[in-house]
Amino acid sequence: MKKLSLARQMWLLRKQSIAQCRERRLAGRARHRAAMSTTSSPVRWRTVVIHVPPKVVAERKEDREVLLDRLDSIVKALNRPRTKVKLDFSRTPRVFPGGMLLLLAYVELLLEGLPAGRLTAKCPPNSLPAQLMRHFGIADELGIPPSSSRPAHDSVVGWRYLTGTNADCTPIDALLQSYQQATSAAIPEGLFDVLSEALVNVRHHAYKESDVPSSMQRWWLFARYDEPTNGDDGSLYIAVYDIGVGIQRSIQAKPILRDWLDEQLEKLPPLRRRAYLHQSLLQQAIEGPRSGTGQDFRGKGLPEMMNFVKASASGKLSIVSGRAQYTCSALGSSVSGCEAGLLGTLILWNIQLKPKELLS
Amino acid sequence: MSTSRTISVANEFSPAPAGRYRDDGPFPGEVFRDAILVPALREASEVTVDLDGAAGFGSSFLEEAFGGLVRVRGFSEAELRRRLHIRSSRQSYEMRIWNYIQKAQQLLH
Repeated sequence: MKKLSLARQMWLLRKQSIAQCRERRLAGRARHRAAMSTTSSPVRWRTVVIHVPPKVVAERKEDREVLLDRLDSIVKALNRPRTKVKLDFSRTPRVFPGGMLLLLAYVELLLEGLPAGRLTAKCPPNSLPAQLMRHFGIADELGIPPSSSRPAHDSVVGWRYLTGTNADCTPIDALLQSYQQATSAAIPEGLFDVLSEALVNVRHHAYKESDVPSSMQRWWLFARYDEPTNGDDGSLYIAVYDIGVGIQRSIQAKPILRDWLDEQLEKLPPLRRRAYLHQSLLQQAIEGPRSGTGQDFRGKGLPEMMNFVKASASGKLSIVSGRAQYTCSALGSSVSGCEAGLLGTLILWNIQLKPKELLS
Repeated sequence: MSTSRTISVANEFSPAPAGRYRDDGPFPGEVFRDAILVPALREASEVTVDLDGAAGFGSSFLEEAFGGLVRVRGFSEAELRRRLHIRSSRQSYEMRIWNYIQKAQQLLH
């Protein structure tokens, strides 16, 4: 074989080097083109901060309307594309069971349907809202750090939370028994009866003809007790909520009750029929003998709840549904209209607790 | 048949009974009636239902369990008055149960 001259060898090496450079250059261009085709301009997300009201209350109409307005704002903001929502609790020192229950139910449902990070919360460290969120098990999903939300406050530890989709009242029994054992107060007889009826009502009526997906057809329950002290009565607050069709719509949907409904409408002043209809229907559902199903052997749950409160010397029941609120106690009952309609039905008991020794 | 039978709802069914129909939950009135109460009434001449020990009873449970004996299972109020006894430290439960049975009988006519 003929030996290559040094010049020839140098030429071959240079040619090889040129070819390699060309290959590297072409590969680089291909990588650049590939990178440019998948990388678009960064999508900008907007974060809307929504301040939770100073008092998270559902028991009073004025406070409830403020809360419902904020909840409505949360849902509207999340419906906008590329929008995140941050709930700001920094101006919320006071929280009550009914209001907290509404807020928690809405937040839980939204978190179920949203990707992580779209709904978050900001709470002052170790504040009551932060501890409550941790206590109810949604602090992590809302981005509230564990170090600043450890439940320690007496009033937080006393809150209990239950949720479910059927009328299994075993947890209710456990809840009432735990209060019975832990407190010096007597839990009134008949409380289990009315709580079980509240869950049965959700099961039978709340989600009939409803668009709510079956996985979300739930009830939520909060309970909080305050121990009797120094001769003062304690109290037990219990709230039950569902996001169903509401009591009034549930009645209106029953063809068997059409004649009865027309009869009720005839009794109302013509100009105010629409405004008073919700109040009238709610009052009838609680006080009237007629069942929302039209079946005479049913429909005893709401009257049972009313009778339970009236039979106790103190204590109050409030039922909010649609655009009406019904309130009763041993002293009497009333029904009023609400500007802001409530999604579903909220039932609130406020029961005075007497020390056991006073009752023996 | 000349036997008597006592049923403790808390021990033989549930300490926390609730609901009316089978799919309401695990311990509703319909299941108590059909699985425990009706068989007992078919086997014994007298049946006593002891309600003590349970957390309580909502109207849906009681009406379906006892009113349903007439409405669904064909017992008559007269027969139940002879053969069914209710034992409870809360008198209101017994009153309500007989009220449901009576109303169920009236609705049949």
